[in-house]
Amino acid sequence: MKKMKRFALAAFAAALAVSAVLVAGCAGNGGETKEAEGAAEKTEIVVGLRADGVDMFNAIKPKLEEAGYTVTTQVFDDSIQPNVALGEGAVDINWFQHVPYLNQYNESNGTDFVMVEPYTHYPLFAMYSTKIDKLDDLQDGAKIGLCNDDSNRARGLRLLEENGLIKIKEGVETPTVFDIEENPKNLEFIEAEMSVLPQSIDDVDAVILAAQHMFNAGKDATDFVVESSDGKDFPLGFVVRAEDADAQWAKDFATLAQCDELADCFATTYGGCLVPMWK
Amino acid sequence: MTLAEMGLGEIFQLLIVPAFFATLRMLVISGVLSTVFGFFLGIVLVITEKGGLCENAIINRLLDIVVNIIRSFPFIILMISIIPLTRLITGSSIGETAAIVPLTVACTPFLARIFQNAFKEVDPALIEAAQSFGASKPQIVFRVMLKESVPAIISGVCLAIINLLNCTAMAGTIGAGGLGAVALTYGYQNFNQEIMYSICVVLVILVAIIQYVGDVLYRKLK
Repeated sequence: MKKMKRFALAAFAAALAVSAVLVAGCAGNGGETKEAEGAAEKTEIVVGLRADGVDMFNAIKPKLEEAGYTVTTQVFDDSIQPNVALGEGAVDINWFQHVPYLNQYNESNGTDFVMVEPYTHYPLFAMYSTKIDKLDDLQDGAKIGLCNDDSNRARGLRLLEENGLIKIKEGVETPTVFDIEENPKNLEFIEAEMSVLPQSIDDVDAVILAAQHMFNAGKDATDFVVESSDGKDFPLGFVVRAEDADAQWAKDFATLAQCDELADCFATTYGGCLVPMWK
Repeated sequence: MTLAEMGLGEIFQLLIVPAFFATLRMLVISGVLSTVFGFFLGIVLVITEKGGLCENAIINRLLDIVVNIIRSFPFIILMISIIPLTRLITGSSIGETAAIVPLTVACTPFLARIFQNAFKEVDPALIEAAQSFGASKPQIVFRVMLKESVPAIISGVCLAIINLLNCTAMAGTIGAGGLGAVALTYGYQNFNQEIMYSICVVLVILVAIIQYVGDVLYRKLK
């Protein structure tokens, strides 16, 4: 995330200057048209998606059309352009990011995008094992595979802590294995690349990682030992420009998305790696 | 106390010293193994080539291809692609012990080429002379070729070991730990310049020592 921030800063310093002018220009116009059209509801919506989100959007598209919206999609390959396009007005709403990323983006780009509530889903982060079925079965000296990147290693350790397996020093924001205060089960940690962990699952007692990587490796992402409870701190949802935060159409999008069709899509197409917020 | 608040002394004690020994273990074990394997591979490559002691075009061509294939793999890809072999040998696919397998596999062909080149440099007249005295093939290999090429081998092995040290940094991908992995994950990714540059200094010293030992041995044996 931090790297993202720096990249975003560098790459869009120029774009920002341009969009600042645009926003200033559009703000005036936008205000006028809004007043002029008054209560006339906006029904033609352009949605910004990331390539991996097309399937989930197609799952809710019929619902949106039933509700009277004409929807066109704009697909992006990265995680920055959908926000840039939103800022420039090329799309009206986007659906690909989670709250921490949005906050980071807003902070480093001076934007004020808002995620419309209710949020739609969160990515599953969990402990997987081929040796144990429940945490109590974890033996003394068990080997735990952790991700070797900062934020995922920290989430893995937090998962162990919330299940009472270790105790982390107080006041540490992003803990590492060196911040473990108590380790009564003498767990041994192996830090490896997240993409390597799924295929090494048989060689350790458990691995803790994002479900997506299990799914990518052709494993059952829903067959976890225990799920991280902080999943809901990384909710994804529809994001709009500040002036649309209270628009009815934006609310409709977020509400209509909470349907069985989307839940089914998460369970099948996404292998259960994405978890609906409303269930 | 978190890592960011720690002084250099504590960082050394907690992170760098254990990582240093992990790197050293990987370096020594896979260095010795690949030198032994590389030596035999190099010998076979030299004696089976055209005009060699035991000319055999098929074996020579086959080994040549194998060596080239392994050397073409970027180390990180090699490491992932031989995971089944790694698991077969060490019983695990991640961790420090597991990393020794890909390190050895990657370094052996490199050393084989070094040995091959060193043996090739031995004056053919010397081998002919030994043959005319009735020396057996093993005698020629060990008493003549090996003896004559020792200095070239020493500097070649030195080169390979430093190359191996580079590879151990990437072995962090499969959870091997070591200096490179710590510099990357706890230094670079954690924005902890202190850790990153301290490790760089340690690595510079380590490389200097390896090179120095190599140079001294080279001069003594020349």
